[in-house]
Amino acid sequence: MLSTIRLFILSTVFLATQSLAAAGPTAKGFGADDWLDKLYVVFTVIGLVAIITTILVILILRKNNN
Amino acid sequence: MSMTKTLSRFFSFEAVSVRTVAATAAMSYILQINAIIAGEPLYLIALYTLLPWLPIAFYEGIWKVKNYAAVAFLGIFTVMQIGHFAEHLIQVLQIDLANGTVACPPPIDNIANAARGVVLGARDALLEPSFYSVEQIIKPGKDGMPITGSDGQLLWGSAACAVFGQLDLEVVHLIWELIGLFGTAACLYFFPRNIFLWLAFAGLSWHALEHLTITYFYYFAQETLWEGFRQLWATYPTVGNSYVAHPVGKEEAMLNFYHAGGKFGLMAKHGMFHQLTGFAGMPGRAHLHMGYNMAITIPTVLGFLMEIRVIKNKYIEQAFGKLSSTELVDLSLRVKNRKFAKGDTVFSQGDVANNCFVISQGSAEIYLNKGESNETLIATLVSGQIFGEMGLLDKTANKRTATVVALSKLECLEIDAETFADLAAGGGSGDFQSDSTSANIKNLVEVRLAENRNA
Repeated sequence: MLSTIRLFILSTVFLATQSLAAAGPTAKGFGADDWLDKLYVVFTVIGLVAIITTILVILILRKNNN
Repeated sequence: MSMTKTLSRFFSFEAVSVRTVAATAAMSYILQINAIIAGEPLYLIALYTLLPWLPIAFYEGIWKVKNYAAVAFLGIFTVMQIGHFAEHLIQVLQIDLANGTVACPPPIDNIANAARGVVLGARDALLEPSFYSVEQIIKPGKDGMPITGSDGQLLWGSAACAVFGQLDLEVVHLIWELIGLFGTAACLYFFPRNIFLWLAFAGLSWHALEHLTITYFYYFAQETLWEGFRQLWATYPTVGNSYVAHPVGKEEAMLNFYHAGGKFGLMAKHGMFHQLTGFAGMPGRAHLHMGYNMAITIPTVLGFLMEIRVIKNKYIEQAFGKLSSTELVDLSLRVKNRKFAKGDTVFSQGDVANNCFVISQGSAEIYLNKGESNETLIATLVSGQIFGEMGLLDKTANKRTATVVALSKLECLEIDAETFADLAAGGGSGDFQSDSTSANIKNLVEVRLAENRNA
């Protein structure tokens, strides 16, 4: 039991050494242009998710048709 | 078959004995009370309470998947999704009802924060850092210093990171999201006509866009291009091992894309949609992601409820394949799980017969005149096969006609005499109307009698 608690506490120390706080305002000067610069990431992710989803749907439906 | 009865059966312990459940409950309460008396924070009280249940829940889960196949997987998956949604809901309640501050994972009573606590005069210099996460946070203002209310008092509230806020990490969010996406796909593989699971799958695909994007920025957009601040905290104990984070100002820092604004993701307030359109009406990330998870969890629950109406025990299905689907569901809910160790005698020749069994795991041997000079092995049975039916069919003698011994660790599904009589009678006034099943049982009896004659 003690080792479990130690593991739990250590994991908090190593994984969460600072609060990330997904709240509050954005940084000074951060705005739409910065997102436009990262649109390639968003579109890549959309493509990736579309491919994964399509493959999974095909696998599900193919099994259903067999 | 009522939904309540089906759910109550599914969520009861079938593979684990009542004694084990009672011992686990006792252990859980002892650890919980111990943690409360020791003044541990809520997350450790919750952890202590849950820990003893994990092994038997895992064991029971495996048994359920073996016996009820894909429906059990969907059930376990649904429970996990509800747990995940509960964490998001608790976080939103902490924000809205407990004056919570979103600083997740919560600040830790580490060396730096504890040292600031000493400088603040809020803790003894001899009190070493505990490395506990704080449970409460004093609200910081724009300058990073505490906000005071109209009465001049500091504004206290929850660290709004749900119960296990230490796990509020981008990588954990992403892994859970992907488990949800692929897990739901696996469920759809078995239940492709379940419209609710398709809705959950669509929600998960959309949700994956958010977490893949945010996690990419977190790990791969490391250039620090934006001027910003990091909040500084002082930590000190309040009651027992419960700690509070006290804001003590800000330090200037250059921020990467994630910390500058990428952490809000695509659709939350301050996120991509807000920045590109100027529309500031979207909910904050905590509320939006609670909404996403509600949109995923509700159809998952409905999808599970749809499937559990027709839950059947796999081994009952093997043994009584001629029954209708409704009858198989009914019979599956009537059987009891029984366990025998290797070498145990399940029953002896001449005993009163009041039940029969379907093997769900292991194997058993049937002997005539066991222990006597003319002892004869007449059959070895494996999973999906029935034994004990002969004594039930001969209503005048009502005695076991042979001895059954567990050849290995044996698990069986016990059918009581009344239910078996109904099954054997076939069409008529009983709950089971299958003439084919009745004929199958008669055939089985013929086989057994032939085995006895040849022995």
